[in-house]
Amino acid sequence: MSDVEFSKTTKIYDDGTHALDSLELKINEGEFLALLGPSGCGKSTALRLLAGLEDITSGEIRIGGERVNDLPAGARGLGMVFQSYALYPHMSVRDNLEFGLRRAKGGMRVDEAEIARRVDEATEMLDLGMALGKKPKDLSGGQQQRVAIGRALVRRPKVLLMDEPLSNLDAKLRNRMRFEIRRLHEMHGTTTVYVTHDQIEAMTLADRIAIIADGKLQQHAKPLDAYNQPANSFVGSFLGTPAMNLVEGEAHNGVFRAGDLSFDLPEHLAGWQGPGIFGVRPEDVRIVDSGGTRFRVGGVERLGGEAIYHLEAGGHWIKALWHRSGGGLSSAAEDHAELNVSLAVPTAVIFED
Amino acid sequence: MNGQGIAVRWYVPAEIQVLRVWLPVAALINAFIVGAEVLRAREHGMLLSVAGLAALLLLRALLPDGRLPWKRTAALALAAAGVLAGLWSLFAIELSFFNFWSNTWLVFPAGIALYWLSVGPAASWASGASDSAAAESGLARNKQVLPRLESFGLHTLLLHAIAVVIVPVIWIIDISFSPGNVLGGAIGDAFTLEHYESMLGGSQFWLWTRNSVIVAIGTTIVGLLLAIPAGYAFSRYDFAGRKGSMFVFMLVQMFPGAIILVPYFMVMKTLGLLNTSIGLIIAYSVTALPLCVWMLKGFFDSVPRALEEAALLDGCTQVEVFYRIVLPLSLPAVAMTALFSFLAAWNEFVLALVFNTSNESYTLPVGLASLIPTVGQQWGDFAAASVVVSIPVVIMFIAFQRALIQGLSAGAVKG
Repeated sequence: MSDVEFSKTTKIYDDGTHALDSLELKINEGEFLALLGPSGCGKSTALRLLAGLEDITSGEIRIGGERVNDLPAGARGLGMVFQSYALYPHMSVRDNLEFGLRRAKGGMRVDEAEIARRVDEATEMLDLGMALGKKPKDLSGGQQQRVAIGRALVRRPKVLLMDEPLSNLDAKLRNRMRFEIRRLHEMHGTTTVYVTHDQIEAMTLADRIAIIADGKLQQHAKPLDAYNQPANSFVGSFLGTPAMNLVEGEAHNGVFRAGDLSFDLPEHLAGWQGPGIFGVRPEDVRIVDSGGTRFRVGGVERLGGEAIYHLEAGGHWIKALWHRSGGGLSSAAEDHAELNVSLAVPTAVIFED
Repeated sequence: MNGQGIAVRWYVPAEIQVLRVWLPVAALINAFIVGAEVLRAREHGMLLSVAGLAALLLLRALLPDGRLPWKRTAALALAAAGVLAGLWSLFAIELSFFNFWSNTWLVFPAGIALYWLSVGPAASWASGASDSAAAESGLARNKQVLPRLESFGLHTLLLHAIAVVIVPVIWIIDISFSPGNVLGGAIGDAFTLEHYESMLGGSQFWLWTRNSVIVAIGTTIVGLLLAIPAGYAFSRYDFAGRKGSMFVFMLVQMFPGAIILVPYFMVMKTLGLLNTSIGLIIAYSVTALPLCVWMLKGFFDSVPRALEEAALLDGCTQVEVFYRIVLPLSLPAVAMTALFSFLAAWNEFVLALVFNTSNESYTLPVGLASLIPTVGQQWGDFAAASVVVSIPVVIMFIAFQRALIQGLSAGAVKG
C-alpha cells in the first residue's frame, strides 16, 4: 500500500508564517497528483513535509496507512526529483544511480546483483547508456533530468515526489519531458506527487490536481472537473489561458449588474439572487446577432490559429478567444468594432466569494 | 553642425592619447627616482631627476590639442631638451644598472614624444591640418594602434611590478651562492656551495626543520579538525549566538598579534607549554582558526542544500551526508585552508621567538634569525638557509595551484 494521506497537516515557520494550514488531502495508490498553485502558496512545503525535509507543526501525514511524522527522510521509502536535479557533481551517473541503493539499511538492503539489474533497467528505460560513465556536468539539461528521475526510480519508491522538475528546461524539451514523465508513470504506476505552478503541466500530467493558495487547499478534483466546475473564483482564474473572465456584481431576477454593465444570466444561474462573482471562460463568449450586451473591441492579440479579443462595456473588460476552426467567438471582428456579446452560456458560473 | 564633422571633433591620434596617460606616469616614476637619489645622496642624479620630473609634467601640459600649432612647437622643443639632458647624463656618469634605468625613464618618454610629434599622423594633427577625411581614417587607425600601444604600456608596468617582487629573491639566492659573508657584489660574480654545506651539514638546521615540520603539520591537522566542523555548523545550522560568535571571530582577527602576545605567554607558562611543539600548535591553530572557519563557511555556503536533501532521501545520516557529499565537494577549499594553516605555522616568527627560549626548540624562522645578530653575521649561511626553507613553500604552491585558484574563486561563480 502506498497511498498518502495528509490530515490537518499544518506548518508554521519560526518567523510565524503559516505555510500550510490544516491540509486534508488523500492520494490514492498509483495516482498521479499535481499540487498546483502560485509561488509561495505552500505546495512545496507540503511536498517537503511529505519528504521529511521539514518538520510538521501539527497534524499527520500517513504513507500506506503508517504515520510518518517522525520518520527520518531516508526511512520513508520515497524518491524525489529536485527542481535543480541535485545530482551529486563528484560522482559519475552510475554512482549517482547506485548511491541510494547502497545506502539502504536493514531490511531494505539491496544486493550487488539487484543493484546492477535495477541500474541497467533504469538506464535502458531512460536511454542513459552512453552517459553512465560521465559526470553530471558533462550531460545536457534533458539528460540530467532523466538521471534525476532514474535516481529516484531505482529505489522503487513507495511514492515519487517531483518538485517543479521541468522548470529548468527550455520550452521544447519541457514538452518532451512532460510526455516522458506521463509515459513513465503509466509504465510504473508509482504513486506520484508533482509540484508545479504551471497549470498546463498539472492539467496534462495529473490524474487529479490539488489547487493550493495561501496555504489552504482550494479544490481537489480531476483536471477537467476543476476546469469546468471551479470551486471558487481563485481556481477559476488560475486554471486556463487566457484566464476566466470574472465580473463582480449583483444578480437580481435573472439579470446580473456590475456598475454600468448588465446582462442576462443563463438559465441554470437565473435563480441566483444577491452579490456574487460571475465567471465565463474566454472561449465560451459568444457573438450574437441580436440581444446580448453591446461590447466595444478594445484590442486584439492575433496568435495565428487563434486570437484574443479584449472587449469593453461599462468600464468592465473581458477577454474572448477566437479560434480559426470555429471555436469560441464566432467571427474575427475588427478592432474598435461594436459587437453584441452573449455571456449567458451554459458553462458560465457564479461564485460566492 | 558647425561645419566640422563629428569625426574631426572626436579624433585624437592614438599617440597623443597614450602620451596624455603615460607622461604623468613617467613623471611619477621620476618622482620616485628623486626619492631614491636623495637616499643615495647623489647630487647629480637628484638634479637630473627633478629636472626630468618638471620637464615631463610641462610636456604633458603642453601636449597639442589640434587647434593651436604653437603648442606642438613648444612641446617639440621641450622633448628635445629632455632627450639631450638625459643622454648627456648617461655619458657623464658611471653606468650602474640603476642609473641606466632611471635615465631611461627620462630619455624614453621625451624621445617618443619628440618622434611622434615630428612625423606621422600625430604630427599633422598637432599642426592643425586635420580635415574630416583624415579624422575618419585616423579614428579607424586608432582602433588598430591603440590596443597595441596600451598593451606595451601595461607590460612595462607589469615588468616593474615583477621586478619589485623578484629582485630581493634573486639577491638572496646570489648571496647564498657567493663566497664569504658579504651583502654587496654584482649578481653572479662568484659561485660556491660552502654556505649550503655548512647549513645542511650542521645538526642545528635539521633540528629546527624537525621542529618546524612537527609544528606546521600539527597546526594543519588540529586547525582543520576544528575549522571544518565549525565552518559547516556556521554554514548550515541556525543556532543561538551564531551571528554573535561569527562576529567575535572577525573581531579577534582585527587585533594586531602583539596585543595577545603577553596573555598567550602567560597561559603557555601556566600550562607548562613553553619550549614545546604542542604550545605552538595550539597557539597557531587558534590564531588561524577564524580565517579558516570563515573561508570554509563561505565554501560550504556554495554547496546547494538540495544536494544534502537528496542524500538524506537516499538514506544517508547527517554525518554520512557530510563526509560523502559535502566534504568531497569542498576539497579545494579544504586544501586551501590546509595550505594556509601550514604556511602560517611554517613562517610564523614572533610567537615562536617568545615561546621558545632554547636553541633545541627553535623553529626555522627563529633559528634563521638567530644567525643574524651574533658576532660576525653569517649572511651567506642565512641566505642559504632561507632559500632551503622557501623550497617546500614554493613546491606546495605549485602543487596546490589549481586547487587554490578553485578555492579562491569558489562562491564567486556558481556553476
